[in-house]
Amino acid sequence: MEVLQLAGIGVLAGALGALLGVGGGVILVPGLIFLAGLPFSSAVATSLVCVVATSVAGSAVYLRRNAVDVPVAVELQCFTVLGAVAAGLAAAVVPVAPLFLAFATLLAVTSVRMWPRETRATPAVRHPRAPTPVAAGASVGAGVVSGLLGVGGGVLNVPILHLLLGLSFDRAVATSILMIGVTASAAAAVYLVRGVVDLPVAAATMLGTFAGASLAAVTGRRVSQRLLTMGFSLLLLYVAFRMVLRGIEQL
Amino acid sequence: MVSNSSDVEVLGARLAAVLLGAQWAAVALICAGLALEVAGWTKVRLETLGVGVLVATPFLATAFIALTAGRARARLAIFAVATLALAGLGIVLAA
Repeated sequence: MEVLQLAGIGVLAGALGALLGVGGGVILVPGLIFLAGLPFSSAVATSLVCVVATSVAGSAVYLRRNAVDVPVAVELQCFTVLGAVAAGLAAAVVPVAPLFLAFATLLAVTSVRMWPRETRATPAVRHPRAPTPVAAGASVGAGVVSGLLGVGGGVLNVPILHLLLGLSFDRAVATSILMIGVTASAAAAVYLVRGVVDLPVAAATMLGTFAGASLAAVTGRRVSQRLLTMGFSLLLLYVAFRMVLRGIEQL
Repeated sequence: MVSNSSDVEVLGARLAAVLLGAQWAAVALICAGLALEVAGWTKVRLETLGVGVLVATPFLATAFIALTAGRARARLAIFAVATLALAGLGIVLAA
């Protein structure tokens, strides 16, 4: 596998992730499968390593700004790690076809959620509450999604933090970024021990992710956010369609 | 529920320093490893060590919280230790 090709996929994922506020997983997993020809499990494992990279870089910035609710993150990440570890272990026996279809569903949901809207109704921000059993259960689910599909789980974490625990949206995003690092790290460690991670592949892709995220931080303000989000949403729908086709092939 | 107060802010700032330090150590190892590989010297696989450092970074940060939260943040320390224990259990079961 060409180092430059892998780094290029990482740059794309890192840049789009940083510009649009999503974890790189929704870009990396399909990119590594369709562009680099990796099998599903290797793509998931490589993506998890890169999600850790994105989280570490982003968390450091948000922590310096005091934008992260560290106690809430630590309490909930215990539950996401439980889900991620269980999923990482279960991934060895789960058939690939349902995973392709589940990933396609995740892409479609992310695409719809990202489509730009004129006004977005948000509930009034309350004082953050202690994690409830519902939030804890939902966090286990977020961990399972992360461990099985190689994404950070932010698409679930942010609503849990914002809607169930009453954090402001910005604080929920920042707190989620810290959480996804620990979640992805736990799942990645399980995949590493299982021998699924191709370390040189992961290293090259991760380096590209760092470079892409840094590039986006410099050039981000020059790009139309609305056009970019619309284009990205359509791209996700197209990739979801390709994932469904690949899933059907695997049945 | 622990609200964000000054000691949590200090904890966050220290955590940021831990994450940044580990991040740049990982990037340096990976760059050096890939450079050696491109140069044809494949005996040293520094990039694999770099990936290992990176994957371990969130655990390092969690351990840092567990060690520094102290009595005043006992709940925080307990959850941090529980997180590490679960991750450790996963690694043992996967091995």
